[in-house]
Amino acid sequence: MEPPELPDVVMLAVPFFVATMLLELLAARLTGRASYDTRDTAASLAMGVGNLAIGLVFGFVTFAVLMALYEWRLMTWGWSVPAFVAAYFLDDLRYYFYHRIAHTMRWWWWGHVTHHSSQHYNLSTALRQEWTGPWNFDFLMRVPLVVVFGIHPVMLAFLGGINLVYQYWIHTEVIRRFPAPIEWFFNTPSHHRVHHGANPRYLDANYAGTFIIWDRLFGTFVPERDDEPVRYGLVKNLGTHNPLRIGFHELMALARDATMPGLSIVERLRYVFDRPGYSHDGSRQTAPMIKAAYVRSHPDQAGQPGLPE
Amino acid sequence: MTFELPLPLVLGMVAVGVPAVVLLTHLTGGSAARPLDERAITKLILQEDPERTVTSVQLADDRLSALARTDDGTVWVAWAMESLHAVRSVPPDGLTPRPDGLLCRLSDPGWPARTVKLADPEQRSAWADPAPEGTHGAA
Repeated sequence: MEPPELPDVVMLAVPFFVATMLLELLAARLTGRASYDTRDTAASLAMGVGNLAIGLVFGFVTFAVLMALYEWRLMTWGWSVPAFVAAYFLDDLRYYFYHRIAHTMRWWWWGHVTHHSSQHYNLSTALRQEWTGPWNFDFLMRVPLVVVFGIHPVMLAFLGGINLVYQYWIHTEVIRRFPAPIEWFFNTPSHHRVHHGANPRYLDANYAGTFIIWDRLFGTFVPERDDEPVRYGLVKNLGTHNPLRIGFHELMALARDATMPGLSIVERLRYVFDRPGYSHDGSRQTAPMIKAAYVRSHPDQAGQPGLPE
Repeated sequence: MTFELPLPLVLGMVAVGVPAVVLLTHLTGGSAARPLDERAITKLILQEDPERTVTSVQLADDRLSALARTDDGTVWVAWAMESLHAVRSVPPDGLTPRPDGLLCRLSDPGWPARTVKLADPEQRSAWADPAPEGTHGAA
């Protein structure tokens, strides 16, 4: 069966992106419940426009690879409404693991760090996306869905667009919390604020795309605490709004680390594939190290969500 | 048949919408830099390294950057990033005197070299010296 014609959801959402950013900016100025700075916003939007352009150009390449692999599928998924719904859940689970890897393996972190590099948390931050997705092989995570389950790449592109638009609106401080059943099942602004936190307890948490149940299931869920406001950004924040530096600073740092003289092959590989913050001489800290240090200085908080025993 | 927005229309919305958001952010006060103060710098450093004590702070003349020293002798630099601030530790050879201040180089791609404005030559030499007597390592 030929795939149906499906719209490009992200393209359709562009007017929604612009209108809601203007509304949130208004809310920020009237209520103070969000913050917008000019150069930070400009950098985020530049990254978003670049991501869109690169997606238009190189998206065809990754799509062609997935289409070629689709010919070797083990089964055929189909195009019914339940097939769409089930595929959305599967693709969201795929996103959870991709996102977790993007935070815990430096090769994927060097691109994803772009999205976390703003100290603000607003709708423009949602559009602060990497320019390098096609080049660090993010799309490989979709191969099992195509080959094992036989989900058509057209369906994956459509569902991926919906997931991306879903994740856009949760980048806001204007919405505090939803009723408990929604907060239990869906990724919400509250849950995703935690994900953007640099506070020790909030590091490496809430990787979900649409459904927060994956974090609850795999033990990475951390709730937002009213007594600990989220400190947005990176453990070591950037001193620049230059989009080129935002997009490539971590790749440059990775290259410098992995090629420094006197390292063993294993140490070089660990600089590329181990956790962000790995260092061969112990001079830096990974997220688990930061959490452990925090618990040493706050022993009463050991074992709380996001912190070790 | 599916509903699609023509590409030229999408590009037009991006071309108008992005500058509109940035311009409105600027016109509503989004470009104002929040000057640094000792309290803000101390808080930032303690977030990075909770076990340290800040022993001295030198605000730049324009208060948009600052230098600080902690009890282990580490020198830190802070920048005003519009309404927010950021801080990093400086390597021992990271400060170079210039006529208008101290050029701060971190050899970090995420932190370009910038000048901490200090008109007083004594202040410049005190911070640029890698181990001025009685300051580095002071508890």
